Amino acid sequence: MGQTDLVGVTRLLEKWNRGESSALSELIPTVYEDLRRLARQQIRRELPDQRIQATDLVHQAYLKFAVQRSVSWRDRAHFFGAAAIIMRRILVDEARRRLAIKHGGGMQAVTLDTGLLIPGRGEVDLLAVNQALIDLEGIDARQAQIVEMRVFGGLSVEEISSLLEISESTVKREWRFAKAWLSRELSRQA
Amino acid sequence: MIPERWQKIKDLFDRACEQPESDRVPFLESEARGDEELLSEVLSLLEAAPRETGALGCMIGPGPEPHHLMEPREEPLFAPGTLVAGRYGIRRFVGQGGMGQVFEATDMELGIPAALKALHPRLSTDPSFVERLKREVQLARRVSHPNVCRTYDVGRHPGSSDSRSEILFLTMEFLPGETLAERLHRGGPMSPSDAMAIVIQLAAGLQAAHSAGVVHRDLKPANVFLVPADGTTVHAVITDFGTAHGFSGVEDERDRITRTGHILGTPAYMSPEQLAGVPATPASDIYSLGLVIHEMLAGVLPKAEGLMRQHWPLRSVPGQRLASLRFGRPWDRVIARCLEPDPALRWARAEDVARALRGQRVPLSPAMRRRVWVTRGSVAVGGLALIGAALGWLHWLGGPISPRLPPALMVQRPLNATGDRSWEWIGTSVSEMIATEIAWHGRFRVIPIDVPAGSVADVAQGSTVRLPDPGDLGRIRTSLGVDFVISGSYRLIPASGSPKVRLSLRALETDSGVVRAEVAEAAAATDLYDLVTRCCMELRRQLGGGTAAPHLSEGMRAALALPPDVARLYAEGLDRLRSFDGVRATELLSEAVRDAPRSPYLHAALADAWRARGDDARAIEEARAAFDCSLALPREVKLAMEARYCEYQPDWKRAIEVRRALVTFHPYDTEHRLRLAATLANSGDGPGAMAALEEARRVLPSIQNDPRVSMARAQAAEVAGDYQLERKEAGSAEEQAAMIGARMLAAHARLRQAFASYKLGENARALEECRASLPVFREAGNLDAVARALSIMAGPLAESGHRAEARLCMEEALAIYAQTGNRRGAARAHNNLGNLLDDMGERQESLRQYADAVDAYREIGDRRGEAVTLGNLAITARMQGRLADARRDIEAAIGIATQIGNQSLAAESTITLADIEIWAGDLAAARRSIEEALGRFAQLNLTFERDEALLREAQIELMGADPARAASIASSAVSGLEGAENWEGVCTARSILALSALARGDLQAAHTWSKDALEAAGRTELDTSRIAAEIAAVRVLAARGEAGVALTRGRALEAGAARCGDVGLALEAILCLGEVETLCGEGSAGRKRLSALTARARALGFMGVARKAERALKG
Repeated sequence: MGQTDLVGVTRLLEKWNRGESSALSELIPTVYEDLRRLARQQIRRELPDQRIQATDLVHQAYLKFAVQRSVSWRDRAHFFGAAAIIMRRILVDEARRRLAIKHGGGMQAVTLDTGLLIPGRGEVDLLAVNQALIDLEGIDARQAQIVEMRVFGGLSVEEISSLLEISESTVKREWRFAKAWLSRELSRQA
Repeated sequence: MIPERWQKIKDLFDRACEQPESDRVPFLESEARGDEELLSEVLSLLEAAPRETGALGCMIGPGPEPHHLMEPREEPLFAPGTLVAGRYGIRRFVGQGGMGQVFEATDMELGIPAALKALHPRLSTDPSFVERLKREVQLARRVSHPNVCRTYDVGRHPGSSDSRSEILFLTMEFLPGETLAERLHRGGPMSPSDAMAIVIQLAAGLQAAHSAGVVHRDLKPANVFLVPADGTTVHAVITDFGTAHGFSGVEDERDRITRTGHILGTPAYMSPEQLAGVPATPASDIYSLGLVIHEMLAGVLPKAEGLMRQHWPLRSVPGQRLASLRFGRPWDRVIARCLEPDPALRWARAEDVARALRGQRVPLSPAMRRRVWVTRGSVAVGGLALIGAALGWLHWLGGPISPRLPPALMVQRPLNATGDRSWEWIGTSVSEMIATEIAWHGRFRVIPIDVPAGSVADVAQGSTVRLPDPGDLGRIRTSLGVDFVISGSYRLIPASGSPKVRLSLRALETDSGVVRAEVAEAAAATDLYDLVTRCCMELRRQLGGGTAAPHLSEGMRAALALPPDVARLYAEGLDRLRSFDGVRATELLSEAVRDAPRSPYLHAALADAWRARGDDARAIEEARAAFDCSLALPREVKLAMEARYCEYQPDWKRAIEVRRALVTFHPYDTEHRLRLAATLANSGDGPGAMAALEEARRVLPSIQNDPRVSMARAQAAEVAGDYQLERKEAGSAEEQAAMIGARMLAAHARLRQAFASYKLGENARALEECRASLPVFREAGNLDAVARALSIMAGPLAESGHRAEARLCMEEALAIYAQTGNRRGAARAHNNLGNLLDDMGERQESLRQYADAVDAYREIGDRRGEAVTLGNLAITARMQGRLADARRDIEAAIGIATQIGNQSLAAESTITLADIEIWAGDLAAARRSIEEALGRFAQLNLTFERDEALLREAQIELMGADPARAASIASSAVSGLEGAENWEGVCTARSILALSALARGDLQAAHTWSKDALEAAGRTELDTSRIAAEIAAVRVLAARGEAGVALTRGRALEAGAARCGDVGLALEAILCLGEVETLCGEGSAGRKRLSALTARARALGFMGVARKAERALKG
């Protein structure tokens, strides 16, 4: 079975790192397939636990990428930054697919640790999160990027701060505000 | 939004966050400087901001169904003006209660007003219920007293359509005015003189009833009517005598829940003994009267002040002021005595309450005299009797106020002092019997050894050889809320015939370390049950819990008094089960069940043992038998047995109802609460489980540091998908368990952290945590836990590239499961090992593992697991070219999936079947399969899978020589596939489009599509996709006359395909090369290749390829 071309991924990451935004669009299909395959493998595999965490998948994809080569810490952050964007796409696709199957039909749910607790509803609709995030992108792109990295890529504050070249306290402040803003928007929708 | 505005909002929000919470609003008001919009914007954000701690991860996907315990309100059974039973004219509908509806009516015969209570039709049609009701009414009619509402009659009203819908009704005195509940709600607390006038009437009414042998059972303000007598006084009348709850004797309450879906009303006014499921007595009414008096004076039920722990009832001194009572004489004394937890210590008669209120002397009851003696005795023993004897009122936040907790006992296994290990079973038997016997009477709570969230067995076992030292006791007390530890030993004493067993037991008080009760008795081993019963009775007596109601002991006897050989099998079976030896446990317990087939306890233990071995079918059967055998036993046993049966099936809705009922009836029982939380979590309701645990902590402050509660919270967090919280809670559980020396529980908690870390992607940490817990399990011989830890370890190992190590872990786990007979664990491990080996390229070994997994799943009756593994097997077999095997496996999988109603699994498996049929050249069958799968996917609205199915359909059309149709189907799927970025599918679709264009002679289109297909293949990086696209490309090249390139690439393709592990694709690649050779001037080599291919494909049953090769040879 084929595997993602690791050298290619690294090269693309470097390009993206240098600010060539086109590298990301090349990166997406490569990593996307890996992530998607991981998600499907998970479903076939009989884990005692029945749910899949989104960041879990990103971490696994990273492992495949990292295992055979020494990866610098910044590579790791870049990988996760890119994977967050890709993961978001996969999950949104998945959620759209899932939308109609109200009771699962034996499918496993992919879970998302948003750190948000919306009053009056037990679960957050991923599509609603996505929509709110699109709205936020229109107002404050950097803040939306932080949310995406944390929620979909599982990046730490430290990693985000290095990746976006802003201080950790700024990341924390932005994240705190974004959580409040998203919670409010989502509960308004609810 | 304007960027400056947004920045302003962010700044203000950030600065407000830095303020203490109480200062935020004033801070914002001053900072907003009159900008109302800004102010409200920031305020709404602050309100919405998730709290820093305790945020649960949110789940995407289907959530649990809410369960409805309440039925919707119904329409009134009678309209105004209806003449009921030819006698009662309905005037108006008054209201609805749990049992039926109440109307105001006129008795036309006597010309007087009457209240008419129409029972719920479902109750009316139950003959035994009607029988009991009539008995109750007969009793109630014996009471004739101005303060008791008169019951007139029971009648029947023919229903509208047929005789089966007859409505049963009661008529009673019609009372104008308001209820005491309404009065308190409207006017608040009463003055002592107003209250006095009413209480004296209530006491008189109760006394009259009690004298006539009638117990009210549900005295509360809503059942007291205040009828205006003259300008200044009211006439108090107690209603619903012996009927409200009297309808349902204790043993019937479960039935009522079952039938009507109602949980009994709040236990707010019930006495502790009623809550514990013991039948109500006049003393129970007196307890309720005490609560009513308190509410009349204070407007609320008694509350905790300073939340003191539950305490020992006998040590509360007569007349001692309750901390929360501030009503002065004579009220405080009257209320305190009504509210004695021990019924024997309350006012002996209702009229004594009235006497005491009037300041008259009340004669001392026998129980009072006994108490004085016991108090003195206690002082003599420990000198501590009066210390801490204040109050145990618990404040049940957000709910009714509950009475103080019955003391909690933990039963340790008595020490075997016989010097002979073959008598070990007596220890297990005795501790089981003590726990059951003592819990039976409701005066004590028993902390059992096994609860779902973890075992406290190691707490109990750790100190069997010695009396727990004060440090241990303190920890047991603070962590588990245990008041008394029962421990002891047994030895043999010579006697004529067989030796006798001498059992000595003692109860140690955990907060003082003093022995509070002690007993030693001897009996023949054949009379073990009687021996234990006698000892327990004596312990209870010394601890002040009273003696047993004899008929309950009879029920117990029937269930527990097993013949000695059976008792021995039972005890040994339980021991094996607790040391995780499922095989031996099922053997021993099956033998016990054979000899005593009517004992619910034996069936239940056997059910647990089968469950431990993962044999659900047998576990369900035994759980059902346990439930059936428990029907004659009291409620708690029945409910517990039913809950087990529902959970094993699983019928979560009902299981949760039953667990909730148990919690309602036994609100202070930690284990019932933990089990409810576990059931909710297992049913997938993480937030529900968390809420149940929150309530448990409110009601039972003593469990604040109970590691089992933290473990249960971790489980709930896991179900809710919040692995961070799961790890945190499991960490707390580990610390708490370590505090009380429960090493096993601590190790389990560590293992849970490991699994959480794995799910969080922190493989290194997960490995470290697994490795830390393993030696503890190994040392304790807890093999199942060792195997579980090893299976969990395999995940992070495999994912961090250490596949060989992962494999070793899985293999060791499998060896252990074989030893312990845990077939479920084995089945799962075989399947996962099969996947791992497949990834490692060891296909033969992988197949063996799958086959073992299938066997194990079959053995335990796990149909879904069997079908999943069969699907894995079929895919591997198909790729290996064993089409017949593949077909057999996948057909079995489909059969199972259909049988168990798993539509998506069935449809997914049907696609695999279609693949096999396509390769076998059986196009008609493949077409049918695809149609079936398409139908199912459409029903489930699974577009991703639908497009996959469409691709197969296009392939079929292409092979069936209808390229135009193939092209149209493939193009209909292609946009969906692209949208889903399913590049594998896109590649297949484009290859089909290329080949169909080629078949139609459109070389230009074929060329374009084949280039696109290769592009898609490049995105997937899958060998199989690349080969499929390359086959199309090579054919197109040949057709375009680029012979050289076509031949070179065709040869490379053939060589590559041979290594890709998919026999079908390899054959297709050969076919392609052969055709290209024929076309490009290497005819003889091509023909040779094609005829060899024909033979090989035929031999393998790949008839599709064989036929194409034959056609190519001819053409």
